[in-house]
This record gives sequence, C-alpha cells and structure tokens, in this order.
Amino acid sequence: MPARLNNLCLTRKSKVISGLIFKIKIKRLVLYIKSAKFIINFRIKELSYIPPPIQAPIQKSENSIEEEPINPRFQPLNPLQNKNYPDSFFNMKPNFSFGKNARDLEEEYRLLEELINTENRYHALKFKQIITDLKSQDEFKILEAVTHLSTELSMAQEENFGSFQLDFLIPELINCLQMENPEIMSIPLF
Amino acid sequence: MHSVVSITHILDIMPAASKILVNSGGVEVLCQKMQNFEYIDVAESAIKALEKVSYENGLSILNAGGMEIMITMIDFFVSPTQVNYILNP
Repeated sequence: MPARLNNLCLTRKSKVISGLIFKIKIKRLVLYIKSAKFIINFRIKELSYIPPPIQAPIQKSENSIEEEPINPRFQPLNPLQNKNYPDSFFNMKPNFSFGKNARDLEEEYRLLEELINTENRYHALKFKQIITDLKSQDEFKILEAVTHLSTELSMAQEENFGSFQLDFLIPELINCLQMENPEIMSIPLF
Repeated sequence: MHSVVSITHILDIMPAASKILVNSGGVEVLCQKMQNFEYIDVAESAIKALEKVSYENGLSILNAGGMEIMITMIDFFVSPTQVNYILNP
C-alpha cells in the first residue's frame, strides 16, 4: 500500500471518529439541556404550590342556631310555621347565599321568622282581648272594643285575619248591634 | 255604628265571611237597622254591609225582606246611597 493512500485512509478514519465524537457530544448536550429544563419546571411547580390554610376548629358562638326539640303538645297552629308542612317558612329558604356568609344568612332568616311569629302573636292577643271585651257585660268595655276593632280593621289586610277567628267575632258584633241601649249610643267618643 | 262599620270592613277584606254573617242571622238584624231612622248613619252603614253581602248571598237578603225595605226607604237616603240601590240591587 502506498504511503499516500495510507495517509488518506488515516485521515478518513480520523474524520469518522471525530464525527462520532461530535455526535456523542451533541447528544450529551441535548441530554443536559433536557435535564436542566426538567429541573427548572419542577422548581417552578414547587414554588407555585401554596399549601392549604390550617383551619381552626369551629367554636359555637352565642348566636349560633341550635335546633331545639319541639314538644308535640306545642305545635304551631299555623301550617306555614310547621316544619313538616311542604310550604312552610322553613322550606322556603334558598340554597344560594348571595355572597353572604351562610351563618349570617341563617341568622337573618331566624330574625325574620321571629318577627313574623311575634307579629302574629301580637295580632292574635289583640283580637282575643277584643273578643273577650265584646263578650263582657260592661257597656264601656264593649264600646271601647268595637271602636278599637273598627280602627284596626280600617287598616287591616287579609293576612291579619289568619290570627283571629271570624266565627266568634261576627256573632258577637251582631249581638252588639242588637243591643238597644240608648246610653251606649250617646256616649261621647274621644 | 262601629259594629256595622267593622262588619263592612270584614266583608270588604274577606267576602267569604258573608256566609258566617248569614248563618248567624246578621242579615235580619242589618235589615232592622236599615229601617231605623233615628240613627241614619247606622242605616246607611247597614246598607253598605248588605251591599257586600249581596255579592255572595243575595238570596238571603231577599228572604229577609231587605229588598222591600230598601224600595220603601229609598227616598229618605242621600243620592249616592240611592245610586248604590239602583246599581247594586
């Protein structure tokens, strides 16, 4: 083999070897880059992770609503106030809170229910008093009750009639009409 | 007077209460009060109450003789009441 040709073969071999080495180096670089990317992504994820806040145990405040067992003897007469009734106030509560805290909303509903109950009780007591006055034999009491009733009824609505019984009231008013006592008519009204 | 006014108010708010009034004999009493001219305002209020009753239980007024009393007494009342007679017999 001539020396020239031998030199040529050597140069070709060295070129192939150097090419292979270059390729290996590039592969290593790619691997390094990939691993670096992976580590950076992992670190970013690690940094962006926010641990959930530690929740304190819920303590019952003074205003917390506690369901008391209802005595079956004292069930409300109005069906709307009965929990078992499908159209009761208790079943009218919406499931959404309008951005308010659920506890605040429940408190508002409790106050509203209390208001309705007290108003009904107030009307019931007032009309019960009127009926007892009408049943009494005292003329002044009757006149006072009838005057009070007429002023109350002039501003009353149909909802207020739920609290008193017309079956008792109307016969009493008719009895009052039948009274033929001129004194009761001639009393000056204040 | 106040009792007739309160009956009128009750019938105005709750027309179904006229049945209770009829059953408890209130129509006859109102017709009596309508005849009594000593207290004309009571009579006029009684007419108003009977007008409310007539929407639900007109037959009971006819049976109690309310129509006859109204026709005989029509001249003694003021003109708005007379108009009410004619429009709501």
